[in-house]
Amino acid sequence: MDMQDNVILKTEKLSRHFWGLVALTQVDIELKRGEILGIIGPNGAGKTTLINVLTGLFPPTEGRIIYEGKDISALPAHIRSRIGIARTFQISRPLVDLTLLENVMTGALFARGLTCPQAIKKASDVCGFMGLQDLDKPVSKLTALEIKKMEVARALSTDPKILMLDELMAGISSDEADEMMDLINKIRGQGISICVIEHVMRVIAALTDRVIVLDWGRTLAEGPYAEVSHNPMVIKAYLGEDA
Amino acid sequence: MKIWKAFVIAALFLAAASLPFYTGTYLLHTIYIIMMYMSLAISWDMLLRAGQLSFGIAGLFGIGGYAATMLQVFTNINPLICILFGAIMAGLISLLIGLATLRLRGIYFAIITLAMAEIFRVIIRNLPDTWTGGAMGIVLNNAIFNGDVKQTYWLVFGILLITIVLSEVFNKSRIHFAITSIRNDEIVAMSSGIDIFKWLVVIFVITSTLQGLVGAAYTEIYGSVNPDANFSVHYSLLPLAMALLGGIRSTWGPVIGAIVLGLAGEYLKLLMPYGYLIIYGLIIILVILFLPDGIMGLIKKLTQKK
Repeated sequence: MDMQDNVILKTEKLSRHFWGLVALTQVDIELKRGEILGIIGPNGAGKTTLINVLTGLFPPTEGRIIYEGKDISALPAHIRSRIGIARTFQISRPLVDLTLLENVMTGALFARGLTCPQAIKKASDVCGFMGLQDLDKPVSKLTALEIKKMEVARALSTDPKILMLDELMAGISSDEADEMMDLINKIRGQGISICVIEHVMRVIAALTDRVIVLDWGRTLAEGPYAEVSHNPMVIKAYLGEDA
Repeated sequence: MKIWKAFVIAALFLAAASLPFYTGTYLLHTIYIIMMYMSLAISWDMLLRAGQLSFGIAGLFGIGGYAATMLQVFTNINPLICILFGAIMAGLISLLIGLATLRLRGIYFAIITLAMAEIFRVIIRNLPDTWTGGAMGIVLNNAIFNGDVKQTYWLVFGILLITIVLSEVFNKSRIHFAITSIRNDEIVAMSSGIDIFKWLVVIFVITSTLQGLVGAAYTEIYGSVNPDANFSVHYSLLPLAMALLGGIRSTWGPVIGAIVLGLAGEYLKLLMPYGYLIIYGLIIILVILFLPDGIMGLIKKLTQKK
């Protein structure tokens, strides 16, 4: 019981095939309440596919997703957003015809069902938390860092219980990554469980409680980063046979 | 700025509402025809704001017209009720079509809407003559308001007002955020909790009801329907051209486009009775090539530079 309660999201033999292509095979993962879980692996390992299946962009081919004790495998993406699963995207996806504030408002409006004035308040608060300014700017005028922050803010405005961050550090400088890591720690401080996909190992090492290594759609290893990074199978997956 | 804007809108409203008191029949007639196209153009644009391109205005325009006329023939009740009935029927039919087709996107949805108008036309033409009048259609005993042009004008003006108000609601409420998200990026929209299918069906039904309303009023004004006239592709393409010319994704773009193209059409019709459609075509091509955001876009560009 205690063990179960401690886990907010888990998958059971989760698989996803794209026609003949196998993107995920029998993946069993657990995300604990309040933890920062890293998902790492070489390109094409199935990391983004995993997030896409967890957030409902497409259904699993086989297996189940259990969220807070309930099977959510069949729920569509917009419902998963409403019950507390939020995400950002590997390649930023700003809504180009909306301003910065309006982008962030969408989550509050539709996932939380707030009225427009309530959503403006909520979005302003979240933007303030993320250190975003000039909220009436069109997204075309934002820097790469601001767009990344905007994506996090948009996800946070849904009041999520789980936040999935897909390569948040890609395309931003090392200093900016430090700033982002502080923010992620603060988000965790609010009790939100976080799942990060990242290629920057410095970030994974500093940020995560635990990592899961995916390779060819399978779980290759699992554990604290310090441990996993010395696992010969993991090194082989990243660097090839002769390493 | 806001007070100034409200003043202009109030002045325009008063000028438009009092027009019948100082305008002749011909001009009034021309203006309410333009207003009908204006309503169609705005309603077409409202669906476009959700990212869905429709070529099916004529279908809903025709359904509204036939439903109103048939109710009129069978019950002979107040024409205004018949017009309302026409709008509701167009809404109900669009609900069924929307539920069946709004999983499709882009060109696939556009083709369905194009086919829709033609399918309705063929169905209506082949129903028993005692229902729809077959290929000949139905001629009513009388036009609405006994053909009084002033009252007819106010009827059309009322429909236009409803359309404009709805269009502004679309632009200034949560609907705006839902449809803009859907148009910009459906994956983000879903991830923000937006039920895309539900929103698209609702928007499609609202805009179709408006198109049915205009179609119903049109038949009550002219006192006749027939399948070729009321489902003419003209009603799909002319409003589209007006919205493109004026500037899409706004209320005032289609309004301006309808005025310009409507007046130009009226003038050209006198100048060359059979050739004026070619000029329409040319205007559309030139606008798409050189003014992709229409006249509104041009105005914005000019005012921003200053």
